[in-house]
Amino acid sequence: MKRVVLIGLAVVLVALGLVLGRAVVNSSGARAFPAQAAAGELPMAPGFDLETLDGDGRIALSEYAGRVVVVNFWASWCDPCKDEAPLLEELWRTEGEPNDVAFIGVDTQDLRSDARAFASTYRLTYPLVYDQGGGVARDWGVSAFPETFVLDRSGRAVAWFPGEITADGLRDAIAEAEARG
Amino acid sequence: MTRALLLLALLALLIAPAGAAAAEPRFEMADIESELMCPTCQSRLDMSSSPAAERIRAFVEEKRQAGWTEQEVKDALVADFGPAVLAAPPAEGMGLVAWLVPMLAVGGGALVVAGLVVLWRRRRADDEADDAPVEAVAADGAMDARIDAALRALDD
Repeated sequence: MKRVVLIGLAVVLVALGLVLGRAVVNSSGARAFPAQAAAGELPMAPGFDLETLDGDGRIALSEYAGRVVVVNFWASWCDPCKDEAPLLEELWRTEGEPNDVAFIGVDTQDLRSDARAFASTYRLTYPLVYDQGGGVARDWGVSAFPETFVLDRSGRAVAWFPGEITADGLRDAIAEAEARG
Repeated sequence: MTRALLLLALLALLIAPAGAAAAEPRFEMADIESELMCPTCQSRLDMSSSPAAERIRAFVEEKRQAGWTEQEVKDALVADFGPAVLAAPPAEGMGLVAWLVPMLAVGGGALVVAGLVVLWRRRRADDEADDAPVEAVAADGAMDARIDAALRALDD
């Protein structure tokens, strides 16, 4: 009887340990990416393969290997994202497209219909993907909106912008990423 | 012509109540709000006033007024936000863990309590068995008589 009790206890403790362990690893591991980027440790971006917001295809970050990439996380209900959207679009047209710098907007934790309306309202022309379920935002350690990462040609994060970007800040980060070769 | 118009009017009368019934809300906001999570603040929708929660609340109300069922609204939200938008996870995949762990904890706890009760009763039974010969001796009338006789002999 003692053995049965001990086995029962062990099973319960192991199950609880697994669940708690998974939660701790998920939260601390993902959050480390922006922190490392902010500390200048040049962490490798987690990557993604997501459906476009329009639903007419998929975009994988790996397709942009060899290019500087600006990854912007946003949501339609986020007020700072509304303020930031026209500036991002302008920078895409002036700094991105002419210089082969990729811009990707990742819409996350959002109603897809709202996000499409947002993209239409702000006339966003750079590629937009839809992070259904928010898994990619979690992998990247995104905890507030907007957040923007600038990746160098090897996919390492040279800059992280929690909150709205500034034109000068993003230009400098793009220049730094390009300078890394 | 008049007959055709009358037929149309009759048809409109027949269709109107059916349409109105279809758009009638089929669930209460308070019920579904306690079963949904705010995806950005990790708290229940009825306890959150974040922008994301407000938008979801507006979406739910819009669909409720359009006559959607509670399940249809939940399905639409899960399609966009994933199963984490549900306060109670589905009993499949990783969601199954959330259901199994409390069951295992309760089951394990019951096992421990049952085990302790059995051990306690067994120990008590052993203690009673140890005490039994003393009581038997005390209850033995012949032994009492022999002791009394021995004491009397000593007195004499």
